Amino acid sequence: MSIISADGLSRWYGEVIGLNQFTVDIGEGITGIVGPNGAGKTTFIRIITGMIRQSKGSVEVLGEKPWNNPSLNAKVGYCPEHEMLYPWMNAKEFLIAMAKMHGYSRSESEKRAYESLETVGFSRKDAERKIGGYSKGMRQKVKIAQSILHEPELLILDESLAGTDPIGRKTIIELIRKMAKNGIHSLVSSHVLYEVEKLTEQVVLVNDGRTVAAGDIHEIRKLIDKHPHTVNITVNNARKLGMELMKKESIVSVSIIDENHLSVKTHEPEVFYKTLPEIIVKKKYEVSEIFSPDDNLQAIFRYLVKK
Amino acid sequence: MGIDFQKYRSWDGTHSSMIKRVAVLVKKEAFLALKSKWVIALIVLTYFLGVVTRMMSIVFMPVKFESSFFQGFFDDSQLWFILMAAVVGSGLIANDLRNKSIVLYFSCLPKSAYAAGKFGVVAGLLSIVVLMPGVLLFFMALLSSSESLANILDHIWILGAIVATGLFITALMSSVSLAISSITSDKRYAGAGIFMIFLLSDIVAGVMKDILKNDRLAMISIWNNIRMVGNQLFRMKLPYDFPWYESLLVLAAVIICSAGIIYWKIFKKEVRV
Repeated sequence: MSIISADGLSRWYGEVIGLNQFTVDIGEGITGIVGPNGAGKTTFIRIITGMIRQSKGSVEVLGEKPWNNPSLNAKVGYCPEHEMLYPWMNAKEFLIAMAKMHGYSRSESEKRAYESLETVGFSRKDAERKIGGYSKGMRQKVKIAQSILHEPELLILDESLAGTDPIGRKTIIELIRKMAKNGIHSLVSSHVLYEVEKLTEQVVLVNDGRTVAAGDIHEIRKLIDKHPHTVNITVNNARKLGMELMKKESIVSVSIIDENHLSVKTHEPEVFYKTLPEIIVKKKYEVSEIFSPDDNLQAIFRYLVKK
Repeated sequence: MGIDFQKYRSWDGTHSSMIKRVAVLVKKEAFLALKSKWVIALIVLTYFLGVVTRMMSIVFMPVKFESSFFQGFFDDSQLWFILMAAVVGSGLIANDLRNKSIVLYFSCLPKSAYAAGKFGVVAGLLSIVVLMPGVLLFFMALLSSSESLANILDHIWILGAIVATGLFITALMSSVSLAISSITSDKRYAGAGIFMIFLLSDIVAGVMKDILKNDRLAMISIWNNIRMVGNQLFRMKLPYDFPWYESLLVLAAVIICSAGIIYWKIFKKEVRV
């Protein structure tokens, strides 16, 4: 089922283009939208949250058009990148007011406010302090708490992991995963690739307002057939294994790093992963580690956007 | 801080009506405004100068139920009304734009409910200084009057005129202040704008009318038009030599323009944060 679908979406800000023929189909679960600053992530998020309109193309969120659609807003939890909290309120008051405006009763609003705050790791004491005195990470958590307050079907988090401490980041990542298990779909934007990588394998790579690639990180990897796949191997006799591998057609190059480490580049990773165990078993090599740095999202992204 | 996951659950209760949801916004903003010393000072000032001083005159000189006594309250309190609209109305939308919190409201309320809520805040607080003192004055004058019940009942229409004038001023000032608040994210500019639009139009109208010796130029002033319509409602002599309904049309145009600005800024304009 498609949660968000955009077809030929373009958006201009005067003469500057924010999104350029952006086409994507985002499915259930957690999806990461990744790209450098100014790539078009926030523009896309603003369009799908109904804050701005596209100049061209079409977009649907949960099967509905997002512009001026309050019924859709009720199904979406949005945590914006920017600051938007009232410094003179405390987190508890703020969330209770938000819950009441969502239409919950007084008691239910209080319950939800506390539960949401606890979910993001807030103590009752913190919840009763003025927002103006919070750190950036704490304000980030309050924003996330407001976005999950009303049981959204879709959670949209714009750079929500930015500015959080490692514990806070872990809390947020676990929260998103937990919500996904409960059937809440999430779209998480970030320009820090390893953050998204920890969250999901389902990614949309964006650059210069265009979709560079979308889908499973491993499927995206398959798209890059011209880009050699690198595999680092730790073995008892790196030189000998290297020579053995060079005989195979699927191998582009072999670099001997030292006696125990070698780096192999291949255009056909699937063939390589099939033949490598055969060689290891046949020649009785002692392999302690096989690691592919190219499975790392950062490497794929760097290659795709030629950076 | 520990990680404590909530059990995700669906709520089986009934959601509150839209009126109740808007009331949350109105209450929150109104309480916030009432914490301002300026708002309190303006309320006190309006009641002291507009009601207490008039009541003292009633004590020393029992009132005849004349409409000019009540209409005078609206005329004399003009400055306090404008200041109240500027203080209360200026930040209502401007602050949301500055704090970028307008996105939050739109996530839980339809845009129409947001606009209605903001209007409710400024209208509610303005009615404390515009409508309520006028009504209070009427009943106090009623209690201290030496006139016969039949005579008082003959003048009960004055209460209607007070309510109608009060509501009209409240609606007009609320819509103008909300419109100006929606076009800037700085409440100081919005406050100055609200003050200027009422005061400056009065000054310009006065100067032009005197120079060009044309009564119709009084129409430039919003307050002159309010006075024209007010005098008509209070069945008093009109202060300028043109029909009162022309003033009503001017004021209606001001309200429509303000509503148009609010509609454009909230419903049509994108949220740029």
